[in-house]
Amino acid sequence: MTEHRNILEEINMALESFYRRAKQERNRRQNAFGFHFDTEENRRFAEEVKMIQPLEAAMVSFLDDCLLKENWDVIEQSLKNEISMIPIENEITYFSDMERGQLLWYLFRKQAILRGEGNSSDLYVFQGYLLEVANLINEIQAESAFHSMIHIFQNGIELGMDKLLWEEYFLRLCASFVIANPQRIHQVQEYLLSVDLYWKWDLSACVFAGDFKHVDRFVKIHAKGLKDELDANKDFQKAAWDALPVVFTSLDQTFSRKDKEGKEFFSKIVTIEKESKTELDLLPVCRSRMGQKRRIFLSETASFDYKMNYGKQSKESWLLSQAEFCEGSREFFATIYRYTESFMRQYYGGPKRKRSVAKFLKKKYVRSGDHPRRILLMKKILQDSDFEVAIMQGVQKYLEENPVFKEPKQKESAKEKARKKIYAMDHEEIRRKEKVNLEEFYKVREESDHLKSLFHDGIIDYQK
Amino acid sequence: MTMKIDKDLAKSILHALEGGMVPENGLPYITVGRKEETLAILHDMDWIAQGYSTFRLMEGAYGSGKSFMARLTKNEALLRNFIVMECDLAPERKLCGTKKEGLETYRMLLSRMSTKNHPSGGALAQIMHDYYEMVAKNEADDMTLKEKIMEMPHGFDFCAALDCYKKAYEENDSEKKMQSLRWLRGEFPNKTEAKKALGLSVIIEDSNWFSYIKIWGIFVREAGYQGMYLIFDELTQITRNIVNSTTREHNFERLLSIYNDCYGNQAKYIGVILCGIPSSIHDTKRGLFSYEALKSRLASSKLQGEEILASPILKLHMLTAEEFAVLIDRVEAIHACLQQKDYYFTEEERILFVDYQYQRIGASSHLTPREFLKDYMTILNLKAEKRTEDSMEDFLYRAGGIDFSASMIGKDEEEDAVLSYENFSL
Repeated sequence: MTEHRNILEEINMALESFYRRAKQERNRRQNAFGFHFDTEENRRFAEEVKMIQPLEAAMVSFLDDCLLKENWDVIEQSLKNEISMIPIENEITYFSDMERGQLLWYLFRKQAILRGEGNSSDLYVFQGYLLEVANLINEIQAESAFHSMIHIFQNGIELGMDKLLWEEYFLRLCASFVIANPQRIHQVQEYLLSVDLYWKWDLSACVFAGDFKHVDRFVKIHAKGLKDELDANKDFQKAAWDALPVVFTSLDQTFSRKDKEGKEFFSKIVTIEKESKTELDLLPVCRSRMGQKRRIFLSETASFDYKMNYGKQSKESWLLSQAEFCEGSREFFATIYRYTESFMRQYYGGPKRKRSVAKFLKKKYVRSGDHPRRILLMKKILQDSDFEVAIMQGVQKYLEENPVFKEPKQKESAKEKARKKIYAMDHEEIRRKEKVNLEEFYKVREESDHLKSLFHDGIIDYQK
Repeated sequence: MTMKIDKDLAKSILHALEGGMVPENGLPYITVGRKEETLAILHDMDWIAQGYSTFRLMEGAYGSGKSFMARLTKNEALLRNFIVMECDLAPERKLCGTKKEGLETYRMLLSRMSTKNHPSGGALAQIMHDYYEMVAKNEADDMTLKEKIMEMPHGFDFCAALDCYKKAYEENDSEKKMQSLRWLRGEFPNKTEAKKALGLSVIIEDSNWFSYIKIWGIFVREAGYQGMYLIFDELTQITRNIVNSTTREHNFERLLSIYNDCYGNQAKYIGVILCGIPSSIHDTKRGLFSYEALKSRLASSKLQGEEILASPILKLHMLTAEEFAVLIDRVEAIHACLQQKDYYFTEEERILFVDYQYQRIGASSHLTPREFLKDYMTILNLKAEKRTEDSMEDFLYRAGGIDFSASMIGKDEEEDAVLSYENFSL
């Protein structure tokens, strides 16, 4: 009991410092991860592991897929959902805010946990992250958050994690979940009973006791804030992601018209500059695809090729081939995304997001993949007045085809309706007609002749 | 039948229509479909000449022809020997305000005082001069005028100013004449200056300017005119554009007192017309109808139906297709008479043009008389000079058709081929 109480106290302190750091900051999630990532121990741990490069590649590929809005069915189901049951849409929303290093960390930690590597401090980190994710999901749908946690737990057991370590982690997670969602305590209790973990956990210590009240409040405040932010942001971000292909098409059309040589240079300037190949021998995909050992496409730009090395020690592996955008192209895309999201926010009447190409224009892209001529073309596009117009047209076109705009929740009062009707009269529409009615035409003509006779003949000399 | 119209007048009408403007003259030639409104205005003029006053609100959506009707009223009033004063309301020119916005309106009205011989404004000096010439020739009785004016509020002060002018006229003192005119135009900023210049210890102020307008009505009648018209535009400036509700209410109170004076026979020989969009009148939050006293007076009777002579509000509806057809009929006749012809196109072809315009996407919101006539003028000019053999169908549908104004339907669908993003290559 005392042991568990101590663990819970540790959790509380960690939570408190975790949320305090994340509180009310614009890049809340990024900073939260920065906090965890920046500890010396964790950084060293990450560097030691040799899997960093392929994971980086996988991460970039993942981002690229999001950017191009590839069909998720192309990606293997096992890769998609094996690691966690966090709904993919939430994951995308979440990832869009994360820095490259944080994404790397996330993937790395997933892999490490699955392989059974790590210690309690890693678990803390991972737990903190998953709590954050669980909280985020929770505020969307508490049920799915809980089930996510269960699946994480089950996956860990099935994949051969150290049982005790994994259970300890899971209990911590449950405790944090209950603190954040006291109304769900019965659900948690029932599950723990079913997996025979209940006896290990003194839930009474978690239930609204004074020691945890301030943490509970902390979590609730931030959860609320996160929820508000999510609610405020998710529609824009999701719609912005979805609209990107249409926006790209609009940009492509606009700038190909401008190109005097008639080449579609917009689509060409964002070509892939680098291709990387990495050999991987431990990847979930290989387990389920044993029967078809040829090629698996993750996207247009990434694929796994089965490889067999013959020799004294034959070895099966997967060769990950993927093309990578150069830095200039990536940031060019990011600028386009920001403008798209900004217009989407405008459409939704949400908080404004600043649109600016200054960062891209100021930066010098000097990496080998960033061809100076292409960077120049990108900068030229960004400075063109049609750039913003093309994106706006793309957004409008997307919204015409995909009416995502929701009806206002509040009913319009009769007064508001009446006012709108009156203001509509300021732009009176002409009555549509198929054809001119001849009878009416003659009548109007006669009236006009008569009217003319009522007026005085005479000219007013306005030049005087 | 060849239109009988002066060639210079025809050219000026066509020139204005090409530029999307209301012509200065010749408006009766192109007045179409405004039978009730025109009859109401002409009836008002007869009424005013008999000594009554009228108050009208000209309500119309954007592009419905408010400026056209205002110009038509002005021209007809000038030709009938009325005096016309115009003023566009603005943030600095309202009916009343803490920064003398009402007085600014009065000043604008007096500076834009027009007669047939001075249609662009600045007629006050001439009117005063002509009147005192008549008095000198015993063609007008100064005492009768003064008696009538003194019965009215601020009449004594006005008469004192008239005496100053009369004295200056008799002594041929142009400096004193100018100061008197300055007083009559309300341009003295304070009483001290007025006292110094003319010996008068009162000035026209923000709170009493309309009282002086009523006196002007009497004066212009005695000066030989039929009456006086006040035409205000941009009613929105005292409704929607005033954010402060107290200020807005004060302006509505002033408007109400003008209305009461006109209909209660406190004002004589005066016609007041205000032009505005429907929301500036009917909006129950910021429009005139938000002020209950105005709403009860201005709202049309349920029994009224189509009869608008009695209603203060003249609603200008957008022209119907038939009215557009007659309008282009008239414009074409004017254009053709310059080439010594009756018409260029047949009636069926003109009707084809109207039908074509109505089928355009966006026509219901973009098609105004201005757009309509600009497009038709394009065809007429081409028909008269370059494409004399082409029919209306050729102009509208065949190769080399007209690229109309910006409100035209969008480009051909085929040009806007949507590339599926599967084909978007990297």
